[in-house]
Amino acid sequence: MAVNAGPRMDLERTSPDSMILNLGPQHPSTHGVLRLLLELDGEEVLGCKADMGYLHRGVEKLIEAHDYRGGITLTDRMDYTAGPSNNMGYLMAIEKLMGITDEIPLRARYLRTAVAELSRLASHHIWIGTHGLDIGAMSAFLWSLREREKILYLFEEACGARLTTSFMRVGGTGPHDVGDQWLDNVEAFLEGYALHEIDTLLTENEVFLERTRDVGHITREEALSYGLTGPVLRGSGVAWDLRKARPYAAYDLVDFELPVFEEGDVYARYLVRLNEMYQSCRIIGQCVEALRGLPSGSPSNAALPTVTPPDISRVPVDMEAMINHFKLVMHGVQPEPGEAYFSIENPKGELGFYFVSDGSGEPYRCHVRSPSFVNLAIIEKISVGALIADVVAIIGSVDIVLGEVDR
Amino acid sequence: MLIPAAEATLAPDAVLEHVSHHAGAAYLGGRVDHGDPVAEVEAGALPALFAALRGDPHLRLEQLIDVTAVHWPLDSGREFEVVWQFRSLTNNLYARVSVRLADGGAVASAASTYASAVYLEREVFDLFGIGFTGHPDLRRILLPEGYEGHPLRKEYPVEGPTFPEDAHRNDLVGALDPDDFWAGVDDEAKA
Repeated sequence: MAVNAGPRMDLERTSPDSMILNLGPQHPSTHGVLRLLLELDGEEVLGCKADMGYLHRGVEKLIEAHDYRGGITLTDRMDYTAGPSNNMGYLMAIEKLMGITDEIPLRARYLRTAVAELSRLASHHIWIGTHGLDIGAMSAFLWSLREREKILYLFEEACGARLTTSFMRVGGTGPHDVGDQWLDNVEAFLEGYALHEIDTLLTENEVFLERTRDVGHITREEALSYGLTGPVLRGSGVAWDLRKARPYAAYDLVDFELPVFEEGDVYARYLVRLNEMYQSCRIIGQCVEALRGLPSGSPSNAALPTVTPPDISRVPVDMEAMINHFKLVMHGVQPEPGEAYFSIENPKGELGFYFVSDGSGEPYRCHVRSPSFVNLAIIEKISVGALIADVVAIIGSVDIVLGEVDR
Repeated sequence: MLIPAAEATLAPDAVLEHVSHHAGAAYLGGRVDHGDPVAEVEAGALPALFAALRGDPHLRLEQLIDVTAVHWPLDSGREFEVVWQFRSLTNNLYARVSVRLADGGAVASAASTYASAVYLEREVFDLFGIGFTGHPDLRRILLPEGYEGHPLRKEYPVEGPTFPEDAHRNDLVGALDPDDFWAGVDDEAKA
């Protein structure tokens, strides 16, 4: 029997005595505007369907309507908890499309790595805070956002914005190279970083363990078939991480471990992310050290007239520089016709960009493979058989952000 | 624990050879694009090709990471290009398979082999209007039910179909006589 449970969706009932409950789209535990339709027998979930699209802004269509530079500003509005990391993925995809990946200077690669890891910390702080909050741990949320605030200050210092950063440009750092002061501040942040406080609040907390162990179990086969990536995949015993398997930026030059847990439950995914945060600190520390070790005056932008504008002081006096400047301002970067797919390990999983170029300054087609969208599908599967309270824990553990699901 | 290979176990050319072997006569050609193997096949090879790519021990493409499409409105008779992207975690491989089809056409769904196809194909259906035969639940996913049109088609305007063409013009400013402004208001209200 199909019951019309809302304006947009039918849920096939499995039992005539069941009740349909609408969770969201304005529920605090749905982390944005996710709507779940739950079929319930008492507190037990018999069926679950997700409804999304409330935040659909047509990002792909908008990217196709602007030149390649214009798209940078749209990417950090997808996963708004890790804006700089999204910027990196977008830029590096264009660099792959242009075939200039090898031309990116070492300084830019290290800086991108450091910034991507900082945004991983920021994103995981939102997750650990709200995930704890959902299941009753208030202090973790407050302490978590305090730490995140420090990271946002670092972003603001480096590029002028906290969330919608539009960090860096094709070919290098663009105007966002950092000075020694910023590196000092990052080191000071790492020294005073109080992740262990949150760790002690949750990891061995009896209530937290009761709520997360043996809940929302994802088998390895399910994780593979559903195309899951990121911590959700590594919580199910698959040691896959693009930073290790297909290194980009400077990940092949830094040393870090990959936390993997076999259990596949909510607690395993918690442990993956928590341990990942400690590893991120290691990576950031190594990047700062490497940036300090680079000879002073090392370039942070590729020496390519096709992507990097000339020194502005040369423009009024040098005809070539003026033409170059004019071409880049008017047309932006213009990749050769072709197509390319490039993906990075975002805090939530594999963030991929698929570009088709027709040789003009605007992408003919840009598709965003967003990790939250693909990972969301598993919620429908693992919520069945759980209790309502567990559904809240499951949504938190999959760690979706609706700006990225709906795009 | 599944430990992936540190490096890709096959070169891109070898991946294409395997795809070609499984697709047989439906294999239309392949190329290595920016280091990635890209194969074009006929729609008839699907969905058997999905299961073959997943089952082949040399490829073992366990994950369908992405499905998308490209609209080429000028290429009449084969306006749409549907693109599947696969990844093998065990063998650290990546492969892209594409199919060309006409406007209004449909291709076989990968949902029986890969669970991730359910959402990804719904998205392509929603934004391009491409059908997927054998899909368990093919309906719009991002746009509301009852929405007309498919926004990622090239003929669809960025501003949306109902946006008035002259919205940017502001002819009415200054054209209205200030006295007319009070024309509909009776004297009592004016006082």
